[in-house]
Amino acid sequence: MEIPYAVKPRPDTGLYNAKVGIWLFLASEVMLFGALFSSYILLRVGAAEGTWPHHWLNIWLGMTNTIVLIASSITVVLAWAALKMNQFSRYRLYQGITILCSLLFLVIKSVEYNDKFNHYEVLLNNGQIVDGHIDRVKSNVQVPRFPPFKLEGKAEKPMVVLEGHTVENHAELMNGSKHVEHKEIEIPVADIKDIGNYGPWHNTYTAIYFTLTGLHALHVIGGALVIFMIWGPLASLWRKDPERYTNRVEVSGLFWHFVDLVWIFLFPVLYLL
Amino acid sequence: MSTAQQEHSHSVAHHDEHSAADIQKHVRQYLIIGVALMIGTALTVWASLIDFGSSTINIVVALIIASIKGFLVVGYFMHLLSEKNDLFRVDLHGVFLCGPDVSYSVVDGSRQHHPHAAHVILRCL
Repeated sequence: MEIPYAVKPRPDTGLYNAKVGIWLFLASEVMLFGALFSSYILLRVGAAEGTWPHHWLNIWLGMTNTIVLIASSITVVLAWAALKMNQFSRYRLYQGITILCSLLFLVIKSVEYNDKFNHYEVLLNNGQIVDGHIDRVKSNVQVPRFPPFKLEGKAEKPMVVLEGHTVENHAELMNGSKHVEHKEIEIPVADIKDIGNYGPWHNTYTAIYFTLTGLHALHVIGGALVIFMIWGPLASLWRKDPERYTNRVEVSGLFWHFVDLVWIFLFPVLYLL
Repeated sequence: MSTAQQEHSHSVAHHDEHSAADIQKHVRQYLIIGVALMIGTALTVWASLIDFGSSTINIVVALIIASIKGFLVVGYFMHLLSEKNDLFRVDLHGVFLCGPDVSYSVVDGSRQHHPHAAHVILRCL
């Protein structure tokens, strides 16, 4: 027996099955991201002035990623419109741009992640803090990217080399928008009391930043894979059943717009405030 | 095929034909919405550079701009405004119910350190 309303919309609701499914799924996604987002806002506004990291992320990279995702949302909806107008080659072009945009987004995100995993805070025995990006070539010890941050090396005078600056306390590191002169700093391992990078374990802000953006990036990967599968390997369905194919494009597009929607909220709160 | 089924097929066919003609017009609308979203992004960055006197106010302003952008995405790209059925309305309500949830988080979290800002938001709500 054929499943009813798999392609044609049900007359009373105006929906076909997959559309009902994707909207119910998106409702559950709103709850997932809504809970995490509310947690972030609660922590952010509950923090005393000057204690919450400010401008730790590169605004221009974040803004570029926002524009990339918006552009991909436009191409997704144009791709669907092209299919509705029976223009398959135009659909292929638009959706190809969408896939490229998703890859560009992930490349920029990985550049940002890499920056955080190479950014270290070193507490010295004299109480001062050295903050900056590690120079793995000049350092003669291996500095791990993940905890535990145990320094290992066989050099006679083990040394960690950072491109950064020295501060007296943590409060001075909270505002990332201040212009600070960076220079090469050599730190003997014997002078180091504690060392760690800006990974999720660094503080509450980095923990929620990696949780939210990591979960979002997983959605980008998932959405891009589905769009790619429909665009490439499953494209033969267009000849056999164009309406079903168009429905698939619409459903994957709805998910992609949701991914864009989430980023629209993440960008200002994580990057700008 | 029964009369009801024939009517349904005709209605769907008519709907599709109607959609194809409409879609050509909507393409221009999608591009305008896209440009509006990009302008909104620039506006968000600009607004974040203004000192409103409290970080809570800055957060509220950023969330208002983000909500307008979100409305454009959901309303036009996801066709929520043009869909006429209850399921979408339920989803729309779900999205907007998140608003009070987040607002409560802002107010509750800011009470301790920004009592004045929390009071202003509560009055607005």
